[in-house]
Amino acid sequence: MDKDQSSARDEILGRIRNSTRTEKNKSNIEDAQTSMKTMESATINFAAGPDKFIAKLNEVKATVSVISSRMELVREVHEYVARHQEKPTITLANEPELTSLDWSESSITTDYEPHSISVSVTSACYGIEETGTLILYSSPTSPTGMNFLPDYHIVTLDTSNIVVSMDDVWCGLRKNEQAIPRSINMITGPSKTADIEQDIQFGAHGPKFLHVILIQNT
Amino acid sequence: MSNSLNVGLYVTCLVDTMRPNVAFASVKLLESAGCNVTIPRAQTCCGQPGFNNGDIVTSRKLARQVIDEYETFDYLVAPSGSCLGMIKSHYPELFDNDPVYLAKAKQLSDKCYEIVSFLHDVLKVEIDHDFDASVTYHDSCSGLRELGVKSQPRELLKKVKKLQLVEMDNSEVCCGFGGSFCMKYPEISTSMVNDKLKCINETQAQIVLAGDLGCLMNIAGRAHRERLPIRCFHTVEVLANMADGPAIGEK
Amino acid sequence: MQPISHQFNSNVRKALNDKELQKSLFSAKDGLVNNRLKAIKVVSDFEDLREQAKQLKNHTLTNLDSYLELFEKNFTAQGGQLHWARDARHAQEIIVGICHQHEAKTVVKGKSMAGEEIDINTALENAGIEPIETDLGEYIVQLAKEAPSHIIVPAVHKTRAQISQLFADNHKQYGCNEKLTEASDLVAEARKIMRAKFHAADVGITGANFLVAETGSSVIVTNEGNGDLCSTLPKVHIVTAGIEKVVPRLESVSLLMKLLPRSATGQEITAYTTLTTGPKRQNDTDGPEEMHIVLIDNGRTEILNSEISDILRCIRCGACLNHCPVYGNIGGHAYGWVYPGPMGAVLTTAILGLEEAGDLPNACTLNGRCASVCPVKIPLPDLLRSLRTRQFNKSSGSKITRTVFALWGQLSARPAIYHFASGLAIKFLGLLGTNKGSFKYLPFVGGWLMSRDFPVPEGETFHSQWNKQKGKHHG
Repeated sequence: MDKDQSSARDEILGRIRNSTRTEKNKSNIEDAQTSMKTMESATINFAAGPDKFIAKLNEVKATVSVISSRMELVREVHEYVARHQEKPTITLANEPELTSLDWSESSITTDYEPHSISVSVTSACYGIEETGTLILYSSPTSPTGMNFLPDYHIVTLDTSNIVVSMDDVWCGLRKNEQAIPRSINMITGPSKTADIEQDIQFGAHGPKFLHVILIQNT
Repeated sequence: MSNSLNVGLYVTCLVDTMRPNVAFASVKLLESAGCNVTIPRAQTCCGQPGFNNGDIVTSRKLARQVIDEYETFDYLVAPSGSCLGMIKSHYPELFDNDPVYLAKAKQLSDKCYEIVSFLHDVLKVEIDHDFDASVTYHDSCSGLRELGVKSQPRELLKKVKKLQLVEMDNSEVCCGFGGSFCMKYPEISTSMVNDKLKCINETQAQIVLAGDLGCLMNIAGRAHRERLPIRCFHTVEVLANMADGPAIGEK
Repeated sequence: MQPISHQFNSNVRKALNDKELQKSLFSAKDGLVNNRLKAIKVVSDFEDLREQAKQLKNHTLTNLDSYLELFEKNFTAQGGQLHWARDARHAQEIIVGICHQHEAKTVVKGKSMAGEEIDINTALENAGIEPIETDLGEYIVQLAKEAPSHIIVPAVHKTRAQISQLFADNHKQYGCNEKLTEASDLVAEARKIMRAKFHAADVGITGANFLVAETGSSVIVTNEGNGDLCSTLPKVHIVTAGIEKVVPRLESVSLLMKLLPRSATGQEITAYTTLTTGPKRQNDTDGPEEMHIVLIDNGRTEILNSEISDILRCIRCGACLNHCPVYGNIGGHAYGWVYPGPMGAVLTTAILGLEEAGDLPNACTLNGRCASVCPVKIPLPDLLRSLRTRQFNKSSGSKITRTVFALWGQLSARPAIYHFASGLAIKFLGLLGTNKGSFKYLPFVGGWLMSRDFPVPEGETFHSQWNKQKGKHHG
């Protein structure tokens, strides 16, 4: 930190410390958080089933289909894409659970091309039942751009990973002891704007269509 | 009779100067319900104008006057949510550095009431007369938000035979009076009262009621200037069956 | 933007006479209010949540230094670069410095009120760098060369026809020659044009709704996706955030997220809520190579140490604006700076000072509707009153008002004289108004009489009548 930065930092923190509102008797940084921990969930509350989540997805204008095994995924993706677009290139997140499937008939790539990507398929780690939200973590195999650049964003999610609320996602994050990813995208429906006379329009900058494929592992 | 409540009526400066009928209606309602009503001689202003404009010193002086004058009553009752809000919510704030008056202010705060809520919540009055008119009600801001006066006037008005109560849209939105605001920012105030009149017109009610004379003078004043056939009374005038004379601003 | 709060009265006059503005305000008002009501009805413990959020924010402010240090530790551990800016000018220097280091030519911007506050666009332009607003509402006001008029819906004051004309006038350079009128077409055209700009930009600047101390994460809450593109595609990502944006833990975000979207637009949650924790990781395919966060003081530490520190709880939801009848009639530009409405009347005055913004705390009826909807229970009318007290104690503000109230106070403190004088005045007015119900003309009450009639008093005060009637009851 350069000298000017160091002095600005000291000035600002100094003024805070001297303010009448500031607690003077705290001992260290971590102590300040103690009372906040009571807000946290000790266990992850998984949803009883996918129905509420599906209803919420519909409410927020995402489309949904449910398949009973990962084997059906290829067919489901093709059927969705065929309904909307003529022979597009489908960009898959470069994850074994996607790439190991038999995509032979299709125009599939795992090369992420940000300038021309039009349909992407990525996986969500969690779904939040309360709000119909998908949780996607960035990773080397699943760049963030895949969630925002295409016109059509297809997301896969195991129904066993649907949790009740956002707090359960944090609980899951902590339990897995993985480092927090660079970006956590919490996605609820397609991109939209109401900036023109409060009239909601989809596809403002992000995907115009969000399709969720729920995999119901029995 | 020794069980009668001793009520000190806080008349308010607007009612005193502009529409004494409201005070007479208040006395009638309180006495009919068995209260001993006293009008303390030394009441003037509750101190709100100064308080709202940053003159805390004057405000404090006037607050002491009110506190002293009303100390011995069982209740202080006022036909104004605005003045009562000042006494109830803000008097204690004025005496942080004066433990004696802080205690007195808190005591007064506990026993002061806006009149319609007093009639409803404490005296549980019954109403036994007609008032054949369609009426809409404006929720004056202080009464609503500082004192929670919302259902009480409506419930009492429903007891008045032949009265048809019609709710307006946005009854809870400020009419634009705001004490000194309407004088300092008259154009904004006018724009706000125009919105209020629009909502009143849509109800097609003949009469507008509210619990604060400032609001009523504002609404009536603009309605007359715009030649709208809207008549304004204070709620207690209707409840006391004393709304047969001129409405606010009428001859 | 250069503040014009000092010309509040002429701003107001302009706004009230602007038919298009009045039309836009009228049609937006009820929708925003009703959408919020619908969204909170389904939350059975909404009032509890407000109280919890207030306590959370209070706790954070009381320990602000600790949480900022913790945030710094965790953000820098992830490779982030934290900067401390004393004021707007300092923040500008830091940001322009980073841009120059990278020889940036264009900067894409997500919506940031803190960015507006420090007037970063002007600083960038002066440094030869082109700032491009990407949030559709901000883009529209940028084309119109105006300031945003609302902290959530910046172009709420613009009609579709006006937006259509703006696009027609400004998009020819992109080969768009057709004048579009449908909202869907306008959005599609903006999307296409903006996409190229995202890809070409050297730097992305966003705001932050929250800064999470526990993890060193920065959170943005959006619907369009532009904020995410700004923070993903360019090589450098800069976040502008006030120091009060820090919250303790991840659960703080979930709590505030139950309140923010509902209060702002009536949504349960926005389309995109993103936590970003540092720059690109080693094997990541995308993401910025550098992530900078500029923490801005600009008067906040002074506010923290004052009687109006509760304003620092503000989470910028805009609910107070949406429910304020004054804002609803004059719109955001009349306030003359970045922050309008009730929270703006407090914050603008606190940051710019009473000399510049003295009208703002006074142009309020203290009706309290704002406080009743504030998700973090800021007592806005009390804070405005505190600013009026500051003004009074400084002897600034309207001399006429001060004199009138001083006289009134003196008179009221002397009941006998008060009753005598008011008795006389009312008798006089009553006589003057004989045979009239109302006055159309009277001296000294010009403000009222400009647009309203003034009722003729009965002619005798209540006290005088009561004295005559009921001597035995008089206390």
